[in-house]
Amino acid sequence: MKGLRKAIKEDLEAGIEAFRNDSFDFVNMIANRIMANAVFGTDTRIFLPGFFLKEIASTFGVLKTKKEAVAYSTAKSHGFKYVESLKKSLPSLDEVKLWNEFYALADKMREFEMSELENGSYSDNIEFTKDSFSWLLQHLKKNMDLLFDSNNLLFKGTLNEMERIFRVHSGELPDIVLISLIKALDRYYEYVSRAHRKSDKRIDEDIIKSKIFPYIDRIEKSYKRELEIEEVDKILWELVKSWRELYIQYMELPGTRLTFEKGIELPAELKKKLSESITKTLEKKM
Amino acid sequence: MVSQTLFSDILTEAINRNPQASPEDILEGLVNILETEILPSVIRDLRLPPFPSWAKMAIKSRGRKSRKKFQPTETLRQRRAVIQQVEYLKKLNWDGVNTPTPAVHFSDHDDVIGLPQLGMSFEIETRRRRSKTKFPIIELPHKPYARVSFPLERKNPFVLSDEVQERVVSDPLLEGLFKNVEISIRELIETRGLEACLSVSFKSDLEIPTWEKYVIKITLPPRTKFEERMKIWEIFDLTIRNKILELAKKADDKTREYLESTNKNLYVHMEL
Repeated sequence: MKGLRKAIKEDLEAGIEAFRNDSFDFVNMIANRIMANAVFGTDTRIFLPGFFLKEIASTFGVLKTKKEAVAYSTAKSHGFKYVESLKKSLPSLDEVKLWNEFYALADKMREFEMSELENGSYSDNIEFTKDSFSWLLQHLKKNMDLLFDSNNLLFKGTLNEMERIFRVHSGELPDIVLISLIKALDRYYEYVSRAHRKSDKRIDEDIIKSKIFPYIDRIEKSYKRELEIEEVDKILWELVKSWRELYIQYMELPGTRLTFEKGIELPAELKKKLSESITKTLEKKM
Repeated sequence: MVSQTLFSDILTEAINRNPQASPEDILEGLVNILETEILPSVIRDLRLPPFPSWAKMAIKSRGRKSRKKFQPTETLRQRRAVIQQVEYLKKLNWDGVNTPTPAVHFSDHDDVIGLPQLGMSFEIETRRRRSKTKFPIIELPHKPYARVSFPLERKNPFVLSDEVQERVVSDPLLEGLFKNVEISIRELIETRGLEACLSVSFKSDLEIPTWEKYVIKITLPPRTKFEERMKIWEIFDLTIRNKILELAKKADDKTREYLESTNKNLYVHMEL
């Protein structure tokens, strides 16, 4: 498709500016846009900068909202360099390089994401990460039938553990690849499960079996190092493409998502007064 | 009851300090502050009355009966329950969020066209659109995510220039230094409620290659008086130097030398 590269290059430029201005919700939107634009073309790798950019938006969005003091701007130095490298990656789209750089950044961010207590107590434990990830993957496979239940959070629960383990104990490239693939699968699953929900709130089993289960097997193969990075990207592309196509059909999903609440600023003194006033009233009532 | 004056002060401040916020933003923001900041501190500071015994409850109940102001035992039972619940929350040391690390899911949107503006109105509009889709709005029985408050247009109080960022990325010692200094500065700003912004820049001279310095520029609101400015400058300078000295004490010889030399070439500057 003519002009796709130009469009994505400009998306990335907008993403870099949004990143510079700490507008991570906008960075996320640009990342979605890159992946959506990629759907219109035939290049099966051009979505990758968008996929990685979405992860970066999430990482820095969380870092920015942390209650405890974190070295957010120092961390951002690394993030900024990475976001700029995504733009530079466009002409060649070297998949191995892209993944390695993404892994390096994820590994670097751990020291900023960990709390002071965690930083002081934990050291790298790659073996533990590998074993626990394998356990979680097996647990996911054993409990796949839960995916028919509209209330399940199997993917999110698995990701929650994996991200915690990677943050605290570190990991290797395949660990980050696994997290990325499950995230992409979860995004796709959210749409599939909503689109195929039956009147009894169960999700159409045949659909889940045919559309979701095969990916779990393929993701497992990837974690067992049975797949080349090109094959991993093929899985990722299929998931991203299907997710963006479903977005075109259903747009944003309601209900289960968390969106940032826009906060407002209020002087500490007024907050204290309000707190005292409520406390006094409650004490009187008791 | 919160007095009318206090309520009016809060509203005025909220509007003045958040000029870009819509009325919905202000409302949601206040509710958020109540939930995540005020209530945890109320629970922490609340002095509970003595836990009413069953015997006292019976006496009270009888006494009230005789004065024809009957307070059913059920009300007193509820009072016991409320005290127990507050005690439980106090023990939990609840800080207003469910988990220390907020889980965040950014939206799937790739555009804002057709939506009036970002923020709450965006959400309201989206909800309206949702009702047209075939998806039912479902409340999950267990909400896996903590709510995250994202301050509106809040300035980042510690900014590194592009050049400093490049240096931080390529020099692990400098990264370590700024990482620690940044945390100390953010803690200072947070605990003292300072309205300060610090920006770090790098200066060099092409003709004298050894001349390199880092300048941390402090910006305060224009209304800040001279004496106050001086005091704040002193506090920041002291915090930064102390942190670097603290790092140097724990460091090996080479790192100590580096930290001491950077400390010498670091200037904390403020327009007076």
